Amino acid sequence: MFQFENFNDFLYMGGHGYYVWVAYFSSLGVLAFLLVAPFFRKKNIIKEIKKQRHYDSTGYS
Amino acid sequence: MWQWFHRLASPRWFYQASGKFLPWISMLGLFFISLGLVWGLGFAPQDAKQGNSFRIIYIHVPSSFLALVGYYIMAAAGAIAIIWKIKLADMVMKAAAPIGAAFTFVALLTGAIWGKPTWGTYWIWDARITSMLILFFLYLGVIILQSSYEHKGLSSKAAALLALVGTVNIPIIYKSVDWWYTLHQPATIRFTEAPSMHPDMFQPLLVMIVGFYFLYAIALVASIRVEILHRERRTKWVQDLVFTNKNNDP
Repeated sequence: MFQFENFNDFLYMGGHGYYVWVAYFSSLGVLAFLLVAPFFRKKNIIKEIKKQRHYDSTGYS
Repeated sequence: MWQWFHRLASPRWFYQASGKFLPWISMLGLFFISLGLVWGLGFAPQDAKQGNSFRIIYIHVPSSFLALVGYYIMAAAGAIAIIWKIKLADMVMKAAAPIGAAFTFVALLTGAIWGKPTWGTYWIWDARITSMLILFFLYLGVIILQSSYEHKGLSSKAAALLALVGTVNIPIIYKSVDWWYTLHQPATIRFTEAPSMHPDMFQPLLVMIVGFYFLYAIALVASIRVEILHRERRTKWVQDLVFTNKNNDP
Protein backbone atom coordinates (compact mmCIF):
# COMPACT_ATOMS: atom_id res chain seq x y z
CA MET A 1 0.00 0.00 0.00
CA PHE A 2 1.23 3.49 -0.84
CA GLN A 3 2.34 5.15 2.38
CA PHE A 4 1.52 8.75 1.50
CA GLU A 5 -1.74 10.70 1.19
CA ASN A 6 -0.77 12.62 -1.94
CA PHE A 7 2.22 13.66 -4.01
CA ASN A 8 3.15 16.65 -1.82
CA ASP A 9 3.11 14.40 1.18
CA PHE A 10 5.40 12.02 -0.70
CA LEU A 11 7.86 14.84 -1.46
CA TYR A 12 7.71 16.14 2.09
CA MET A 13 8.41 12.71 3.66
CA GLY A 14 7.19 13.84 7.07
CA GLY A 15 9.89 16.53 7.28
CA HIS A 16 12.73 14.32 6.01
CA GLY A 17 12.12 14.98 2.33
CA TYR A 18 15.26 17.07 1.94
CA TYR A 19 17.56 14.34 3.26
CA VAL A 20 15.87 11.49 1.43
CA TRP A 21 15.75 13.21 -1.95
CA VAL A 22 19.26 14.63 -1.81
CA ALA A 23 20.58 11.17 -0.88
CA TYR A 24 18.65 9.44 -3.66
CA PHE A 25 19.33 11.89 -6.45
CA SER A 26 23.03 12.37 -5.74
CA SER A 27 23.54 8.59 -5.50
CA LEU A 28 21.63 7.92 -8.68
CA GLY A 29 23.66 10.65 -10.38
CA VAL A 30 26.95 8.97 -9.43
CA LEU A 31 25.71 5.54 -10.49
CA ALA A 32 24.28 6.85 -13.77
CA PHE A 33 27.67 8.38 -14.51
CA LEU A 34 29.28 4.94 -13.97
CA LEU A 35 26.96 3.48 -16.59
CA VAL A 36 27.30 6.15 -19.28
CA ALA A 37 31.04 6.81 -18.92
CA PRO A 38 32.08 3.61 -20.79
CA PHE A 39 29.94 4.63 -23.80
CA PHE A 40 31.81 7.89 -24.23
CA ARG A 41 35.19 6.29 -23.67
CA LYS A 42 34.38 3.67 -26.27
CA LYS A 43 33.42 6.35 -28.80
CA ASN A 44 36.71 8.14 -28.18
CA ILE A 45 38.77 4.98 -28.58
CA ILE A 46 37.08 4.14 -31.88
CA LYS A 47 37.74 7.69 -33.08
CA GLU A 48 41.39 7.31 -32.11
CA ILE A 49 41.71 4.00 -33.96
CA LYS A 50 40.23 5.55 -37.10
CA LYS A 51 42.52 8.55 -36.86
CA GLN A 52 45.53 6.28 -36.51
CA ARG A 53 44.51 4.24 -39.56
CA HIS A 54 44.01 7.45 -41.53
CA TYR A 55 47.44 8.66 -40.45
CA ASP A 56 49.08 5.33 -41.27
CA SER A 57 47.65 5.28 -44.79
CA THR A 58 48.03 8.92 -45.78
CA GLY A 59 50.78 10.28 -43.57
CA TYR A 60 48.54 13.19 -42.62
CA SER A 61 46.75 13.43 -39.33
CA MET B 1 40.20 -27.51 -18.26
CA TRP B 2 43.31 -25.43 -18.89
CA GLN B 3 42.24 -24.80 -22.42
CA TRP B 4 38.90 -23.55 -21.17
CA PHE B 5 40.62 -21.34 -18.61
CA HIS B 6 42.84 -19.76 -21.18
CA ARG B 7 40.00 -19.15 -23.58
CA LEU B 8 38.05 -17.49 -20.80
CA ALA B 9 41.03 -15.30 -20.05
CA SER B 10 41.42 -14.19 -23.63
CA PRO B 11 40.36 -10.55 -23.98
CA ARG B 12 38.93 -11.15 -27.41
CA TRP B 13 36.79 -14.03 -26.24
CA PHE B 14 35.58 -12.02 -23.25
CA TYR B 15 34.71 -9.08 -25.46
CA GLN B 16 32.60 -11.18 -27.78
CA ALA B 17 30.86 -13.19 -25.04
CA SER B 18 30.13 -10.18 -22.85
CA GLY B 19 28.56 -8.34 -25.79
CA LYS B 20 25.92 -11.04 -25.85
CA PHE B 21 24.93 -11.02 -22.18
CA LEU B 22 25.37 -7.33 -21.39
CA PRO B 23 21.93 -6.31 -22.77
CA TRP B 24 20.29 -9.01 -20.64
CA ILE B 25 21.89 -8.05 -17.36
CA SER B 26 21.16 -4.41 -18.19
CA MET B 27 17.46 -5.16 -18.50
CA LEU B 28 17.44 -7.22 -15.30
CA GLY B 29 19.31 -4.45 -13.48
CA LEU B 30 16.87 -1.82 -14.67
CA PHE B 31 13.97 -3.98 -13.54
CA PHE B 32 15.29 -4.62 -10.03
CA ILE B 33 16.43 -1.03 -9.46
CA SER B 34 13.09 0.45 -10.59
CA LEU B 35 11.13 -2.02 -8.52
CA GLY B 36 13.31 -1.40 -5.48
CA LEU B 37 13.13 2.40 -5.83
CA VAL B 38 9.34 2.50 -6.08
CA TRP B 39 8.92 -0.05 -3.30
CA GLY B 40 11.46 1.50 -0.95
CA LEU B 41 10.46 5.12 -1.47
CA GLY B 42 6.70 4.77 -1.61
CA PHE B 43 5.47 1.48 -0.29
CA ALA B 44 7.72 0.31 2.54
CA PRO B 45 6.32 1.40 5.91
CA GLN B 46 8.14 4.23 7.68
CA ASP B 47 10.35 3.49 10.65
CA ALA B 48 8.78 3.96 14.08
CA LYS B 49 11.76 5.95 15.41
CA GLN B 50 13.42 7.46 12.34
CA GLY B 51 10.36 8.24 10.25
CA ASN B 52 10.96 8.52 6.54
CA SER B 53 14.69 9.30 6.69
CA PHE B 54 15.13 5.55 7.15
CA ARG B 55 14.35 5.13 3.42
CA ILE B 56 17.96 6.10 2.74
CA ILE B 57 18.81 2.55 3.85
CA TYR B 58 17.70 1.29 0.42
CA ILE B 59 20.72 2.97 -1.15
CA HIS B 60 23.10 3.05 1.78
CA VAL B 61 23.22 -0.68 2.58
CA PRO B 62 23.37 -1.98 -1.03
CA SER B 63 26.12 0.46 -2.01
CA SER B 64 28.13 -0.43 1.13
CA PHE B 65 27.75 -4.11 0.23
CA LEU B 66 29.09 -3.58 -3.24
CA ALA B 67 31.87 -1.32 -1.98
CA LEU B 68 33.21 -4.29 0.02
CA VAL B 69 32.47 -7.00 -2.55
CA GLY B 70 34.02 -4.80 -5.24
CA TYR B 71 37.20 -4.53 -3.22
CA TYR B 72 37.53 -8.31 -3.02
CA ILE B 73 36.93 -8.56 -6.77
CA MET B 74 39.58 -5.93 -7.44
CA ALA B 75 42.13 -7.54 -5.10
CA ALA B 76 41.46 -11.04 -6.42
CA ALA B 77 41.91 -9.82 -9.99
CA GLY B 78 45.15 -8.13 -8.93
CA ALA B 79 46.42 -11.37 -7.36
CA ILE B 80 45.59 -13.37 -10.49
CA ALA B 81 47.30 -10.74 -12.64
CA ILE B 82 50.48 -10.95 -10.55
CA ILE B 83 50.64 -14.71 -10.10
CA TRP B 84 49.53 -16.00 -13.49
CA LYS B 85 50.27 -12.87 -15.54
CA ILE B 86 46.85 -12.94 -17.13
CA LYS B 87 46.16 -9.78 -19.09
CA LEU B 88 42.43 -9.90 -18.63
CA ALA B 89 42.78 -9.99 -14.83
CA ASP B 90 44.82 -6.80 -14.96
CA MET B 91 42.07 -5.16 -17.00
CA VAL B 92 39.47 -6.31 -14.47
CA MET B 93 41.48 -4.73 -11.66
CA LYS B 94 41.85 -1.51 -13.61
CA ALA B 95 38.12 -1.36 -14.34
CA ALA B 96 37.05 -2.35 -10.81
CA ALA B 97 38.95 0.39 -8.95
CA PRO B 98 36.97 3.50 -9.99
CA ILE B 99 33.68 1.61 -9.80
CA GLY B 100 34.41 0.45 -6.25
CA ALA B 101 35.47 3.98 -5.33
CA ALA B 102 32.15 5.31 -6.64
CA PHE B 103 30.14 2.81 -4.62
CA THR B 104 32.18 3.62 -1.50
CA PHE B 105 31.59 7.31 -2.13
CA VAL B 106 27.84 6.72 -2.40
CA ALA B 107 27.89 4.71 0.85
CA LEU B 108 29.75 7.49 2.68
CA LEU B 109 27.59 10.24 1.18
CA THR B 110 24.24 8.61 1.94
CA GLY B 111 25.54 7.71 5.40
CA ALA B 112 26.45 11.34 6.06
CA ILE B 113 23.08 12.62 4.83
CA TRP B 114 21.28 9.99 6.88
CA GLY B 115 23.36 10.87 9.93
CA LYS B 116 22.08 14.42 10.08
CA PRO B 117 18.41 13.75 10.95
CA THR B 118 19.25 10.56 12.88
CA TRP B 119 22.36 11.36 14.93
CA GLY B 120 22.34 15.14 14.55
CA THR B 121 25.64 15.27 12.64
CA TYR B 122 26.86 14.66 9.12
CA TRP B 123 30.17 13.23 10.20
CA ILE B 124 31.69 11.55 13.24
CA TRP B 125 34.88 9.50 13.62
CA ASP B 126 33.02 6.32 14.42
CA ALA B 127 34.86 3.03 13.78
CA ARG B 128 32.65 1.91 10.90
CA ILE B 129 32.68 5.29 9.19
CA THR B 130 36.41 5.77 9.59
CA SER B 131 37.22 2.32 8.23
CA MET B 132 34.94 3.00 5.24
CA LEU B 133 36.81 6.25 4.62
CA ILE B 134 40.06 4.25 4.64
CA LEU B 135 38.50 1.91 2.07
CA PHE B 136 37.77 4.93 -0.12
CA PHE B 137 41.40 6.08 0.15
CA LEU B 138 42.61 2.55 -0.66
CA TYR B 139 40.57 2.63 -3.86
CA LEU B 140 42.00 6.05 -4.72
CA GLY B 141 45.50 4.75 -4.00
CA VAL B 142 45.02 1.85 -6.40
CA ILE B 143 43.70 4.22 -9.10
CA ILE B 144 46.66 6.57 -8.67
CA LEU B 145 49.25 3.77 -8.60
CA GLN B 146 47.88 2.32 -11.84
CA SER B 147 49.02 5.38 -13.73
CA SER B 148 52.07 6.26 -11.67
CA TYR B 149 54.97 4.54 -13.45
CA GLU B 150 56.02 4.93 -17.05
CA HIS B 151 56.36 1.18 -17.24
CA LYS B 152 52.83 -0.24 -17.46
CA GLY B 153 53.59 -3.61 -15.89
CA LEU B 154 55.25 -1.98 -12.90
CA SER B 155 52.32 0.27 -12.07
CA SER B 156 49.85 -2.61 -12.34
CA LYS B 157 52.00 -4.68 -10.02
CA ALA B 158 52.25 -1.89 -7.46
CA ALA B 159 48.50 -1.27 -7.63
CA ALA B 160 47.75 -4.98 -7.21
CA LEU B 161 50.05 -5.17 -4.19
CA LEU B 162 48.34 -2.22 -2.53
CA ALA B 163 44.95 -3.77 -3.29
CA LEU B 164 46.05 -7.06 -1.69
CA VAL B 165 47.47 -5.45 1.43
CA GLY B 166 44.31 -3.36 1.75
CA THR B 167 42.07 -6.43 2.01
CA VAL B 168 43.01 -6.45 5.71
CA ASN B 169 40.63 -3.52 6.03
CA ILE B 170 37.56 -5.42 4.82
CA PRO B 171 37.02 -7.70 7.84
CA ILE B 172 37.79 -4.70 10.04
CA ILE B 173 34.95 -2.76 8.39
CA TYR B 174 32.68 -5.73 8.69
CA LYS B 175 33.43 -6.34 12.37
CA SER B 176 33.87 -2.70 13.40
CA VAL B 177 30.30 -2.35 14.64
CA ASP B 178 30.81 -5.27 17.02
CA TRP B 179 34.38 -4.58 18.15
CA TRP B 180 33.93 -0.89 18.85
CA TYR B 181 30.41 -0.20 19.84
CA THR B 182 30.40 3.51 19.08
CA LEU B 183 27.61 5.09 17.07
CA HIS B 184 26.94 3.12 13.91
CA GLN B 185 24.27 0.50 14.46
CA PRO B 186 25.15 -3.20 14.14
CA ALA B 187 24.55 -4.97 10.86
CA THR B 188 20.97 -5.21 9.69
CA ILE B 189 21.60 -8.36 7.72
CA ARG B 190 23.73 -11.24 8.91
CA PHE B 191 24.40 -14.48 7.18
CA THR B 192 23.92 -16.47 10.36
CA GLU B 193 20.73 -14.94 11.76
CA ALA B 194 17.33 -13.75 10.66
CA PRO B 195 17.32 -10.06 9.67
CA SER B 196 16.52 -7.60 12.45
CA MET B 197 13.99 -5.88 10.22
CA HIS B 198 10.31 -6.29 9.55
CA PRO B 199 9.73 -8.26 6.30
CA ASP B 200 7.81 -5.31 4.79
CA MET B 201 10.97 -3.21 5.10
CA PHE B 202 13.38 -6.04 4.39
CA GLN B 203 11.96 -7.29 1.09
CA PRO B 204 12.53 -4.03 -0.82
CA LEU B 205 16.04 -3.94 0.64
CA LEU B 206 16.75 -7.39 -0.79
CA VAL B 207 15.43 -6.25 -4.17
CA MET B 208 17.72 -3.22 -4.07
CA ILE B 209 20.74 -5.34 -3.12
CA VAL B 210 20.10 -7.62 -6.09
CA GLY B 211 19.63 -4.53 -8.29
CA PHE B 212 22.93 -3.06 -7.08
CA TYR B 213 24.74 -6.32 -7.83
CA PHE B 214 23.47 -6.04 -11.40
CA LEU B 215 24.41 -2.35 -11.55
CA TYR B 216 27.91 -3.24 -10.43
CA ALA B 217 28.16 -6.06 -12.95
CA ILE B 218 26.96 -3.85 -15.81
CA ALA B 219 29.42 -1.07 -14.94
CA LEU B 220 32.29 -3.54 -14.51
CA VAL B 221 31.69 -5.46 -17.72
CA ALA B 222 31.19 -2.26 -19.74
CA SER B 223 34.47 -0.80 -18.39
CA ILE B 224 36.39 -4.02 -19.02
CA ARG B 225 35.16 -4.00 -22.61
CA VAL B 226 36.39 -0.45 -23.11
CA GLU B 227 39.72 -1.32 -21.51
CA ILE B 228 40.07 -4.32 -23.86
CA LEU B 229 39.39 -2.17 -26.91
CA HIS B 230 41.95 0.34 -25.75
CA ARG B 231 44.74 -2.12 -25.00
CA GLU B 232 44.13 -4.31 -28.04
CA ARG B 233 43.60 -1.40 -30.40
CA ARG B 234 46.50 -2.46 -32.61
CA THR B 235 45.41 -6.07 -32.97
CA LYS B 236 43.75 -7.32 -36.11
CA TRP B 237 40.48 -8.31 -34.48
CA VAL B 238 39.87 -4.83 -33.03
CA GLN B 239 40.80 -3.23 -36.32
CA ASP B 240 38.41 -5.54 -38.13
CA LEU B 241 35.72 -4.76 -35.60
CA VAL B 242 36.09 -1.02 -36.06
CA PHE B 243 36.41 -0.98 -39.84
CA THR B 244 33.91 -3.60 -40.93
CA ASN B 245 31.09 -2.55 -38.64
CA LYS B 246 28.96 0.06 -40.35
CA ASN B 247 27.24 1.55 -37.34
CA ASN B 248 30.51 1.96 -35.45
CA ASP B 249 29.28 -0.15 -32.60
CA PRO B 250 31.59 -3.07 -31.95
